Amino acid sequence: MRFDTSVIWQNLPMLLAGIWLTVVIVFLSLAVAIVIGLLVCAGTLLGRGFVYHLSIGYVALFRALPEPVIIFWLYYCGPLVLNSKLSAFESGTIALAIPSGAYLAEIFRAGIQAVPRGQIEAARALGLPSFWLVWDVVAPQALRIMIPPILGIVTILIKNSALVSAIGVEELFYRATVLGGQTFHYFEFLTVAAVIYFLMILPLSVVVQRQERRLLAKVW
Amino acid sequence: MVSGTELARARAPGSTAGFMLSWVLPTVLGVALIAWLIVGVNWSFVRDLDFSVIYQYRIALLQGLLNTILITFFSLLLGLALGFAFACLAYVPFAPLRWLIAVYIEVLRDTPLVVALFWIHFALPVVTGITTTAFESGFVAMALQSSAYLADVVRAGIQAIPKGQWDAADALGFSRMWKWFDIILPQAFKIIIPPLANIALGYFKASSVLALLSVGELTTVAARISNYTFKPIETFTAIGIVYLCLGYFLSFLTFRLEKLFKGTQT
Repeated sequence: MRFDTSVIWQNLPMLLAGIWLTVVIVFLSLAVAIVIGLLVCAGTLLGRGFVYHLSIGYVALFRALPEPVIIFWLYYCGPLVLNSKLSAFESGTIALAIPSGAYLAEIFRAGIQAVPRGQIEAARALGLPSFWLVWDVVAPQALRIMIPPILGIVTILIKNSALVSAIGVEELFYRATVLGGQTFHYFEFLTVAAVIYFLMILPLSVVVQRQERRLLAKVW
Repeated sequence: MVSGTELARARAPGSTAGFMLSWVLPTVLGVALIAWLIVGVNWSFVRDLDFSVIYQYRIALLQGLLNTILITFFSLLLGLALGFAFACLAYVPFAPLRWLIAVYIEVLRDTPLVVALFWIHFALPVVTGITTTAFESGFVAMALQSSAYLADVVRAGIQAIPKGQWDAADALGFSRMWKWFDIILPQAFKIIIPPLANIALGYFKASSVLALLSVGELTTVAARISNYTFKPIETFTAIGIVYLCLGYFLSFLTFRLEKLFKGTQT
């Protein structure tokens, strides 16, 4: 067994293009997920009746469904259900954003609810208008609580972005498997892909773990 | 705590922000959603729905479900055993071993399951010379990755045991082995049940990732049926419902289990 680096260097442009597409998918689906998360969070906190149940149902549904099922559903059923045609890239990005939106909605809700009640009462006693109450008092405090779990969601998103290779989106993992199959150097390409994913996720994971440890230290 | 009603009161009458937030935004969104449902969705698909495919392929689907349950259960069992081993080995006073375990945990935690799966299936045989079937690769990938997460969970569980227990075991003259097996680990196990249940649920879901290698669990079977019959809506919706129901059943079970263990004296 020999680790043949020359194959990697020869196909470097392909791999770099794959890394680029992975990054694009992660950022795009994160952006969509944040929009979904904010709307669903607003629905669970402010909504009543139908809107409230719709938001709760969204979270309950998409937190429990496996990501590959969502990806396959959107890619294979999309053309039958929708009038417009979704490309593999579009359906992959949306399919990744849908469950992340549900997780983010829960994180936003928990973060907002973790702001002490006294803060809001004080702001109201000072006569702060409701917009500034949210903007200046609730949001900054909630955001500080929310950042580690949001980073956790980003790591999950990076990991799940490898799944859209199943529907033919040419991101990093897809390139690695295809190049491995073409050159019969699976070992080299899959190892390189694993290392790249590891390097992308490691910094985020370190931040999350440090924060978790700090929280655990408080409990015990 | 900011309850929903508390924030709802932020929608003070007369304030423009409150008005925008409470009426204009939801109305615009609602109208946009309904317009999209009318214009964007091709409703004629409802006429072509034919759920008899599910009944026709019920045996294959049940087989797939059985495979999902088997692979989840046994890989987690192995993962838990490895997790306990790694967590205990982290207490061995030999630093390089601890670093090795830390690296193992970090590497497996920070790579996607699919990558680990394909690496084990296609790259590992190059190193070891042993080829594995897709099912075996899936089992090994899930066991190894879950062992990394479970090692962390078990370590946290061990750390949560009060120092008095360790001191008491030493004072009573327990040997090192019996201290671990009779005092530390049983208590740690009770502590880790809730996170363990979470991880188990996560891997029940994640087992569908193995479909990328056609391992033969539920999602693989569904993908095959949908390719063969051209009925993706029916098959993928059906397995989605199965995952959903079984997932909620599992979380209900763990909820009961937690209550059961909370009753027993530590």
